[in-house]
Amino acid sequence: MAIRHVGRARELQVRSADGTLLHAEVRGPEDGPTLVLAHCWATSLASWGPVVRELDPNLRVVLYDQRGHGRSQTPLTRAGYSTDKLADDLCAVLEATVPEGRRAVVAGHSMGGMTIMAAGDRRVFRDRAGAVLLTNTGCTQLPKRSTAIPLPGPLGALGARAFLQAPLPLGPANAVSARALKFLVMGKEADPRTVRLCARLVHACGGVPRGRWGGVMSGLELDDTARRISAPTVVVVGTQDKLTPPWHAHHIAGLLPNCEEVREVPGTGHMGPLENPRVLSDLLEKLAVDHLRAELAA
Amino acid sequence: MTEAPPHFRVAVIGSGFAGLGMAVRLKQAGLDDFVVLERADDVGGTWRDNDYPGAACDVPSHLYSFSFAPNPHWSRTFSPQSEIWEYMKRVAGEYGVDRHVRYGSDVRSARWEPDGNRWRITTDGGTVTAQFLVSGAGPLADPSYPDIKGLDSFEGKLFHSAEWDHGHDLAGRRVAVIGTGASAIQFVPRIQPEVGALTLFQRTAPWVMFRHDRDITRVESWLYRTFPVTQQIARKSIYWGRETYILGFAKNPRLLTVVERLGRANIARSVKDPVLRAKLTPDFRAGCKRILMSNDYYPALARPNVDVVTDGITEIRPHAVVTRDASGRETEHEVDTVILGTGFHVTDPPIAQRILDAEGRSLAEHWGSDVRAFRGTTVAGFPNAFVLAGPNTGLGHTSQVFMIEAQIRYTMEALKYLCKHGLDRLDARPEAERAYNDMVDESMEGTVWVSGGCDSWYLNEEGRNTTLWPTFTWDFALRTRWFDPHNYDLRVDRARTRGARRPAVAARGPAVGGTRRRGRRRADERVR
Repeated sequence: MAIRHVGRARELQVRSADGTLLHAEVRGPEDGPTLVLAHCWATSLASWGPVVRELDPNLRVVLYDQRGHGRSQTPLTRAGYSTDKLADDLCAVLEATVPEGRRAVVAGHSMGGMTIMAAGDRRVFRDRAGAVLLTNTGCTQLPKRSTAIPLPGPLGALGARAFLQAPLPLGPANAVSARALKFLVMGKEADPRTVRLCARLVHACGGVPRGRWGGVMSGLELDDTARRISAPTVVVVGTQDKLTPPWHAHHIAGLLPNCEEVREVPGTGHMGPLENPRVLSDLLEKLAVDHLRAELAA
Repeated sequence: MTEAPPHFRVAVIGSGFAGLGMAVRLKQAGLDDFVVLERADDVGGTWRDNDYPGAACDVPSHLYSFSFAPNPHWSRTFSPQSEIWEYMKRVAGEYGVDRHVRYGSDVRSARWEPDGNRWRITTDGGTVTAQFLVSGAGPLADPSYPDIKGLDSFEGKLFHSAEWDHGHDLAGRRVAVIGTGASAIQFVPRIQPEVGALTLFQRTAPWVMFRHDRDITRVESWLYRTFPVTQQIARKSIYWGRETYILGFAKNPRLLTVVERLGRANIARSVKDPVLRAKLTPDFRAGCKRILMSNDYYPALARPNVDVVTDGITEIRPHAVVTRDASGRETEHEVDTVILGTGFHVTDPPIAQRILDAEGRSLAEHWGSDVRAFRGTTVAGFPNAFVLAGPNTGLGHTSQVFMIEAQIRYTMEALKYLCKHGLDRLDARPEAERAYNDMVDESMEGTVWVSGGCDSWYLNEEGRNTTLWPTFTWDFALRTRWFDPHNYDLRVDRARTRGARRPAVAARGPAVGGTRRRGRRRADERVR
């Protein structure tokens, strides 16, 4: 999936701490204020496309594929999947793309948000994150709070767990799966083109890494490291988000020492960057203006 | 007062397939109190060192890999060295094993201290002590230099294939290659087009089979990625296919005439010159020495710039290699580069000279020329030590990693047993070791390795095969599946006996020893 954005992407390979190669793309002017965007589970960096298209062309945008997604390497063993590894990857990308002494706005959607919360106590992250945006994400009790599977009580949580962990290959994208996806992850008013885009992204993701990451998220427990994020943070959530309902946003806001705002976007589901790109691009630009002053002046 | 060296529960020597696999299993069991001692500055062992042109594995990669880390991305059925090394580095990285590795720590000596119940290991990078010692220094770790008169006097470039000098440009050179083993047949076809003239010194012609090497297709790779079970099926099929070779090697060597016919066909296909054909045709039963696989070895030898010399080498002069033929006539072959494809110290590994028992006697002295161990892993008189890829665990037909993993499982079972029962020392009983080796010798009788009419690196000076496992590999895996305490002398850990347990820790309180002990106990409990 190519993203129509200002200028051509400069592609680079980043080696994470454990040797896994990650695919990253840098767009926009080399000396502009930098945004680093981490994508969600079972898609690829292209899921930030609609937001990137709306952004001010003077911003420098760094996108990367999480391990097991897109063009990044897939771990060979189970040990390659953990929130620590997500944090390692983000730190490696920050080190490779944000020059020493400069700061960036770091944004994460869903698993990307979990990545940021897992990296909350890392030195590299604390040095280089000038501001943070977390959208449609959670840091604990994911299956329990999920309302995606409309079954009563613990059955719903069990259903959510199965949905997260099943390593089933999805085959080619089709109308049925797109409908099911829309029901699970998007708001009622999502337009059909966005739904199709979402389905294409999800179908392009390998079943095995999807299931493994789902397993990691089922047992997610990131309260401790999320508390350590000292950069000013905005938390965004869709009111119809079934995978990470608004409860998570308020829970995260309660943990963060420097939470600027919790924004509930009415009528949207879990796929924030696809469903409400305008809201996110405005927030990202505002964060850049407010907190990357030194970088703007340079 | 000198500071005590850092103490670990387990010290692993080497970070090749054995050392890495051991470290990963320790981590999986939750035992983090271990150190890996590596002499070089990166993990990988044999697969790091042997980077000569054309280096590749001759066991299909789906089988020649860790059972816990299938790789759907192998590029070829027989992967090149760079890919295997990269694979090992990634596995090490994912498990965080590299954080436990001490680089630049070539082990100089490891001595058992019965009073402290620990091994004291002196390395180039400092001394450590450990309760358990696991040697992952495999048989192909130390290159063997031939004992030829004047080897040091050679004035051109001379190097061993395991220490390939990539800075030395071979273009247009007159190169001598000594040896026709597994390494030589891989690099000879690669350097042949470059060099001016190549003289190959052959003592014994090897059997060389056609190699079904091909790219792994994208469909296969997709299948393995999407349905991991398909790769398991591929792996198991290769395993059982290779296991049938034992029927020929060990059960009925006459079956190997089929292999010999294939080998002769392979020669006939590429070599038209009858004299060269005769030189290249082995005169012993196939399988007695390792069967090699290559598609381009014979075609390379048939090229005009290659000369195959079968006369014995008498000496090396500053600019030449001298041979003597059957009639006693000496010939001087002028060369400016000598590449040794002369293999490794297999039956006399240098690590055995550095592992010492309580009296300071080395494992090498203990063994003499007769290398033996119980279940290929533990040696009587060397308590709390495990030898991976040890005596009679080598293979000529399938994946060494399979044997190594079986030994690692056995080692883990032993460690778990000790932890569970409050024991702190194990030592194989000599009678158990004897009985086990009698069994091995009995299975070895009639196999091609001892009856095939050749002298190979599998055999020691007395002609006993101390290297290979003589039968099916699943037989070994079953024998090492469970720890068998009755074959060992075990000692109860007095510090952990009932009653003394908690107060001992509490009394020590804030002392450094106390905290370390607590840390170790936590590790024990996780092992359970």
